[in-house]
Amino acid sequence: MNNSIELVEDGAAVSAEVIVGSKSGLHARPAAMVVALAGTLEPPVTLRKPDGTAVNARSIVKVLSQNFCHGDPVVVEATGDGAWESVSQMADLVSRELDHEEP
Amino acid sequence: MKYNGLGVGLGVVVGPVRRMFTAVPEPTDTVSTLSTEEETARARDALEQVAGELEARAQRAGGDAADVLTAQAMMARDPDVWEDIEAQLAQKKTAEWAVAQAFRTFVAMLQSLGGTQAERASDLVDVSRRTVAAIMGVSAGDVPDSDEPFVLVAEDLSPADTAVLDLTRVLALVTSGGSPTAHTAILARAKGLVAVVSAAGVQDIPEDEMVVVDAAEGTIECSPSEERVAEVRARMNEVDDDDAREPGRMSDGTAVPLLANVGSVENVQNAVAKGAEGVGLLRTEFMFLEETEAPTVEEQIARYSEILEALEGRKAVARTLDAGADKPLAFLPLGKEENPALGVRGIRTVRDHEPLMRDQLTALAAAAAAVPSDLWVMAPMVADATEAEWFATMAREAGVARVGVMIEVPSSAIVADQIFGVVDFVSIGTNDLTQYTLAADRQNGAVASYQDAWHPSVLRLIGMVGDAATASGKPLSVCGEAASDPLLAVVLVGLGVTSLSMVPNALKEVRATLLRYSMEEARMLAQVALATTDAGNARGAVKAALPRPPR
Repeated sequence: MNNSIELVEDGAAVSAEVIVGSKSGLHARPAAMVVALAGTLEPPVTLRKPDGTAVNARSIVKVLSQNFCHGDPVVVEATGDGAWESVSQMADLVSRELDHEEP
Repeated sequence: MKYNGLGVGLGVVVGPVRRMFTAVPEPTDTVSTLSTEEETARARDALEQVAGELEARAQRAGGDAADVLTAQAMMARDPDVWEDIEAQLAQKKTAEWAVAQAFRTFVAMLQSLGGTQAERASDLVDVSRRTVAAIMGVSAGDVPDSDEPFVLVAEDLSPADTAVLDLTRVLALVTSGGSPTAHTAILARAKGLVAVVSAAGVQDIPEDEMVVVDAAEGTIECSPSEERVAEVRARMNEVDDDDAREPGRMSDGTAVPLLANVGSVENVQNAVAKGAEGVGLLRTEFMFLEETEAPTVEEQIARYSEILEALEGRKAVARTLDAGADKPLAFLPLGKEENPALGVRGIRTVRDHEPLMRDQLTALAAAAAAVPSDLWVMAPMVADATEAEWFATMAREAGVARVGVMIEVPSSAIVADQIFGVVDFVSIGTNDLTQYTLAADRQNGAVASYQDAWHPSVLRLIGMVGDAATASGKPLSVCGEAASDPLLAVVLVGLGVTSLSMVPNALKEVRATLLRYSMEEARMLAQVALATTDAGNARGAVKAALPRPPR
């Protein structure tokens, strides 16, 4: 677990801003790993660029449509009970170099 | 019955046809006669079936193909796509229309992003097509599975098809569509497969028909005679005779060393087994791509030595680190670029990171000294003689014996005479030289037809480099895809190229073709190609001017 990730709480909403760690961006395999993890998280998480619209992390086409590249900032958000855990797990995954990890 | 198309390579094979046609009917926007619940079930079942099939294929495929297929299964199960489908179904649309319509929106969204995302868009198109086929109960036209080797006949092949194609069973690729520069042809060249593309009418050839596919002639012959089958079989079986190990030469005896492009120790072993006389392009990126920190000099020495040992004293031409915004390295932050092909690539990457380059050169020289070897070292993407001299000085200081540069940028071809003045040899990277000469991004499928090294503009540039090589008496190699096209290889030799480096599978055909023509004939054919007006004309004119058939 990456301890440097800072989570921000705002009422029931939790968010974290991280940098895409995968060299290939959240495109091929890393995108699939994000979607696979998102499917297991409750409450669900969304991803967005700092100035962008939030998309469902369980939707591979939406994740791909955001064109998150290596080094891009990504805001991970969730709301409700367990949001802290959902966001920290997803933020950790996004910030890792996933190109050579097994999905 | 005989069909004509454009041949890729020069091989000839005989075998039974396996057809792959992917004509899934386009759904029409009609009002459904079923209930919304029934249409929902049809859509849901089809998506689930397709996702399951894709997952099963991912398991069988492994590697990069498995990643693509797994992502495609996720697309079939995408909750946001499903929401769109349900919205369509609520308006009394049919399941097939709703699925096609929902995917279409997302496909357009990904296509508009270009680059890698556009490739994912074609994956999405494929998922949509499969799902619509499943709903309508028609075949999605999958790549055939066959225990005996076969001739694959298709409209065209998508990258997803070829990812799961068991190439050990494919004798030849025949397509009714496509072009000599499109995906099928590129795949055929890379894998050394016989192929004929743009062969109108081949969709009429029935399953299991025996055909002879002759790439040199660009023909597909149906129902060949017994004698013809026997003749072709005999030629197919001469694959690994002793000729395959002979050094490359022209019919008059002029030596043209045939080398291999490799990127790992395993590649080296395969290349030597296929008769390569050495390595003409050793991509050293394998040392760096997976590292989070720059490898130490000691680590590099160990890995280069391994490759040199596998070569047992044969020539090896190492290309120094070729990174850039399009091939990023974790330990070398380069930032994002609007236009990476015209940005900080190749030698430009290390101009601000000299220690990285010095370490690599030191390691290469040390490995060459430690192992009996013949190591040459060259830098990629050099723009002019000043840059070449900067690199050559650094390489010689590090103890490299033979220093060269790659000519991939048209500027360096134009001043090739100056470049030969400061280096020991030159190698032309035809893929990049073509992309830059014709201003056509290699990554952009929409301009793929420009990516053809037969273009007379590219050949004239190579001719300029060839003249400079001849005047200086120094060696000139070609290590791009052009060298693996047997007829183009003859033309390149005619333009002054003295050695050729290619994918190992291409060695046999190139060796056999060079042996058919003399230096004088190669020069004549080069002049014929230079006088044409486009790539297609150049290819056609050279074929027409051959003093005798290639085989």
